[in-house]
Amino acid sequence: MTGLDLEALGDLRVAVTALVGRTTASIGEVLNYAPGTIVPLDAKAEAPVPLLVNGIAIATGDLVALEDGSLAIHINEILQFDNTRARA
Amino acid sequence: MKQLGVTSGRISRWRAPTLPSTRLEPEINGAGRSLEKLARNVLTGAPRIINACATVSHGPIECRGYTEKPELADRVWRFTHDHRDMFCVLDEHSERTLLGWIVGGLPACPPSEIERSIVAESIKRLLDFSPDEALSETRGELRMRPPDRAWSCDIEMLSNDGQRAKLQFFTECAPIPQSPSFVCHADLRNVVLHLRATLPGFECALAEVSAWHSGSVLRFQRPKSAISVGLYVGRRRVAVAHLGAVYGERVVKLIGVGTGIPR
Repeated sequence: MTGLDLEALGDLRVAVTALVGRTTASIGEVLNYAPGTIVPLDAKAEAPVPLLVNGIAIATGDLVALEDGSLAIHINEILQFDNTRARA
Repeated sequence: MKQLGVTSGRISRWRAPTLPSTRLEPEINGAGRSLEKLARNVLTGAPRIINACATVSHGPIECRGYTEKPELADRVWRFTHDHRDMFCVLDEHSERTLLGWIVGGLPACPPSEIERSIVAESIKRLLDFSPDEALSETRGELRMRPPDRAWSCDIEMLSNDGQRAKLQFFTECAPIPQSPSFVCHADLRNVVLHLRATLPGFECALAEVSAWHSGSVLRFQRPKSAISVGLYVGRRRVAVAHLGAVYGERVVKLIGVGTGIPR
């Protein structure tokens, strides 16, 4: 009997997203949020964004615009897995 | 502190220590604030009206009823302050002390009618009543007493030689409008939340993720004038926003707020 390998799981569907920033706010502040409110995030405008797969940071990349104006992420680093990686 | 006692070589039963009881205090309402205002007035006026009174202080505004001690003959005055029904209580000991300060000597025991009227007049002045205003003392069998559930505030007067006199003030503490139960809810507005701003995600096969490498380009959104992001607390989206920058810092500008907004 052979063990599973990644190829065997290759068709599993996973959720991919990109974390553009974090912030903290009190419940009072959040309750006062309204359209037009500007919320500062903890990143510089040009900072790379982590790419999350099912909530785990797998890579980082830069936000880029494609020729047709679509938003994309250009991966610049694949993160090395370690057991201490925090869930994003 | 010993919490396990051993008596004559035998193990004795451990008894839970008695902890101070906690009461649910209603939030100080208009009546409580009126009482506080009155206390401050008395505080200001007392040293001027009673010369022997060196220091005056008032305790907290508390919701507690009046407890009459049968062995002490409390005197109770009922009056209106700030459009509220109020009571001023002076116990026997404090009355004698107060009288001693006013007349400058030991009063009769029990105080004479004249002495009692002197005290009453001083109370009237402490409460800032004008001379022609009536301050009714509740006496006799039909005497009124402060309500069981009342805001109270104690005022303590102290002379230079350490004698103390205490005035107790009460006003009705209306039942707190609360439903469904008698519970004070915590104010959660200062609790801090951690928020994440993320691009709307997509699903793909694990094999595709496995093929990512430096230089790969992942398309996230179709052409738009602004980039939409979701603002999440945990797994709950609380707002959608446009991504932007202010002075080189990444920001989001909210365009929709609430958990029911469309993606």
